[in-house]
Amino acid sequence: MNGSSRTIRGLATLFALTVLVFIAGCSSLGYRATQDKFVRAVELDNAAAVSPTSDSAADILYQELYEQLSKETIAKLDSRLRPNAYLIRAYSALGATELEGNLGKASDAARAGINAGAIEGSRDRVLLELLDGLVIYEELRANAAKDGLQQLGGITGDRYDLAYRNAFETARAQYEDALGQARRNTPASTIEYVHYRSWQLLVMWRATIALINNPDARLAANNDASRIVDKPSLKEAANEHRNAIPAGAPLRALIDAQTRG
Amino acid sequence: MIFAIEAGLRLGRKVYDVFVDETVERPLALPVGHLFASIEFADARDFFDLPENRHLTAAGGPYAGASNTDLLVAYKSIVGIDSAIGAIPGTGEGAVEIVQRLHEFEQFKKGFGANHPMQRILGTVVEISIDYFAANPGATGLRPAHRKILQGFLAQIDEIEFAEGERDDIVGEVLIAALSTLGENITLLDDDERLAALLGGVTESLVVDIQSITTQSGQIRREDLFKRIASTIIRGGASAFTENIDLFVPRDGAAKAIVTSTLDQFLMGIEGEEDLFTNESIELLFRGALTAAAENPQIVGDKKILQELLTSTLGAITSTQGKKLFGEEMVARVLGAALQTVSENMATLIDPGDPQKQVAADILAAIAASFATQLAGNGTVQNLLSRDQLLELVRVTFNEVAKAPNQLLGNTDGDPRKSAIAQIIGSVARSLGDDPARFVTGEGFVELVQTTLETAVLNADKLLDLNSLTTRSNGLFKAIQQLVAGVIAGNDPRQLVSRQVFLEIVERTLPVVSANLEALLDGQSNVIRNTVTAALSLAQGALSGRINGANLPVLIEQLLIALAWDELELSESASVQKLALEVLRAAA
Repeated sequence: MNGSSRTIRGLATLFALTVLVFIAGCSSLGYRATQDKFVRAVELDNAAAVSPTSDSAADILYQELYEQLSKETIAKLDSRLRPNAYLIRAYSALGATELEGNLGKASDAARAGINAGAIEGSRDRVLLELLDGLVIYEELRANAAKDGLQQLGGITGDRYDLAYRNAFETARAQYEDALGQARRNTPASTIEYVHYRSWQLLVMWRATIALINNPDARLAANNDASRIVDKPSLKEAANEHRNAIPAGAPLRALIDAQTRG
Repeated sequence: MIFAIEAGLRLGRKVYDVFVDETVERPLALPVGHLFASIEFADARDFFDLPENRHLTAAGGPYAGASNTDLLVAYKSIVGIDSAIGAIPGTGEGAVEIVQRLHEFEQFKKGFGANHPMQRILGTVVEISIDYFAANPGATGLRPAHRKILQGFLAQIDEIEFAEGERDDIVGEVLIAALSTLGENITLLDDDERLAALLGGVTESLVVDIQSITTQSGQIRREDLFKRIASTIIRGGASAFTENIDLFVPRDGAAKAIVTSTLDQFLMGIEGEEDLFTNESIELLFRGALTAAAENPQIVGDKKILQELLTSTLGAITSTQGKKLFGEEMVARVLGAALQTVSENMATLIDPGDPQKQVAADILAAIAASFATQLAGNGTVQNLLSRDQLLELVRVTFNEVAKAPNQLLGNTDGDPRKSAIAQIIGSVARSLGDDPARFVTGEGFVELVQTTLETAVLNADKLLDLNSLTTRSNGLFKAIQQLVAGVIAGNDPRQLVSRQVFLEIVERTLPVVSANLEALLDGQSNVIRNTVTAALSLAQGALSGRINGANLPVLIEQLLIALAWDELELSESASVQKLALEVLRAAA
């Protein structure tokens, strides 16, 4: 082979390699934009959560994100990014309430993220483990909407047993499992988040029982729940999670704001 | 070149790895989730499910059958009340009781029917209470004392008959007065029944009083008065209760009845003269009146003895003559002294056959008359008396009259100048001459009056000439006048006759004179005067070493006795001296 052809071949190889690298890098470069979009969606969602009157475009963004982060798209990402991508896909499905079967899709995405090699104790791993519990929470929320709990609509003891009791118990177990995934490498903010969602679940459980019309059924439900959480009351169990979040932390401040009424 | 490419690739890979790692670890926002039920309602439910609060939602309770929305509102109200009254947050302590009371109150109001004035009255009570606490920064809410007061007030108010359309603002005034007056130091606040009796009695009395006034302008004036005095009435009443707790029996409404009738008669008794009384004096007077009524219930019975007592006594004090002696500033004190003395001497000062006969007024009229020039002469003895001494004179006179009312007040034909009291006091005053300060202080004058009252009452028909208005014809006057004249005539260079010695001389000699009127006050002989002069002469002369201020009175006394029994002649100096030595020896 003469010198010029070798040079051309080398340059072509170089070029091909460069292109390959570039293509690989493009997907990962673009991924940051997806993360930014997810942050925007969450910010909108959170604003609506604390201020129900504000319009939320979060739902649309969540759905776009879910569709954007298809399995095929994620497969193109650097393997180290895939758990994070599935995390965003899962939480986006969770929030995309207009997406048909969104809760099932969220669970699937979470499982895929765990299988994609999310590192034990990492933020993404803990949050992926938490997701199934959050799915149940959304199912509870849907039932609550049907029963008008937010408008202080009362429920019967039977309705509670049917639609709420087991779900609360299972969700709580999932949250506890997620907390159990925390390791030394788990960021404090992640642990605080799980504690916050745990507090939230327990206060909603308490608030749901409060709406059982029959006093005897209400008392039985409270006693049952106390036994499950192994505390004198759901309120005390919730307070434990609240107190596990350091004073001054934003999620602690959020809890206090919500309990002040 | 390959080396360069490989190097470039390694570098690019390195950069890429860092980039990916950073992307993985990039902070993310996480959704906080949406609440789907009310935390606050859960708090409300827990609160109402507490065993001690179940009555609130049970049948008949204020929140029986309430919707969840209403329960939440109720809970927030209770928390708000908790905060306002400084109770432990979340316990509903105090707030629950208030809510329960308000509920009972609403049921109570409903029981009267839509247009009944009690609805309006009770509404006023609540408004007044709320306004009071809002306007008084020191009142941090329903302290236990305030709670007791409100409870006591509400417990009694339903017994008062209110008529539609009539003014009833006084109800609120009494409540305000009670809230601001009854502090936590008064033990009455530990006695719910008596507290209720006091508040109920005062309110009923004031309401009835207002209702008795037919013109609106009159009612308004009356309300203005009550606004001024409501606090003092309650304070005075509370003091009376506290000091005489056994007298005010709450059972069967007895205590309340006493309060009502006493205040009724008290107000009627001072009607028209209210401006003469400060708030403090009203408080003292009402306390005195209430105590008197508790000790002697008959004075607030049907015959309205208390009312007549106050009216007539006030009339005597504020009469032309009364004003000259007492002055407006002494009205309340004199009235109080009269009330107290009458109360302590009901058996003798109130004639059961004629209970409305106004002895106190007669006494005061007599005292006032006794200082008139016609009786007391031109002397200035009245000027010797301070207000306290004048008050003491009143008390002394009342007490002496209580011992012998007929003798000291009887048969005057309605003219106080003819009474024995007036004649006695007038005689004493006149007898001291133009310079009474030479012989008595104000205190001494009072003492002198008491002595003469005690003596004269035992021999009034001889010592006094009640057929004549002038005191000059009274033996009592002549006797003391001669004593005074004797001291003056004897010069007394040794100044033995101090004011105290003079008093003692009178004390000793008056009984002797009373028992020997004809011998010692006969005609123009001036025996008493001459005896005093003789004694003073001995004190300056032959017996100057033996006579002093301590034994001078007994010397004069014994000389008079001897003279009365014709055992001595003053002209016989040796006999006089000899007797004097014997007297002095015995007195040593």
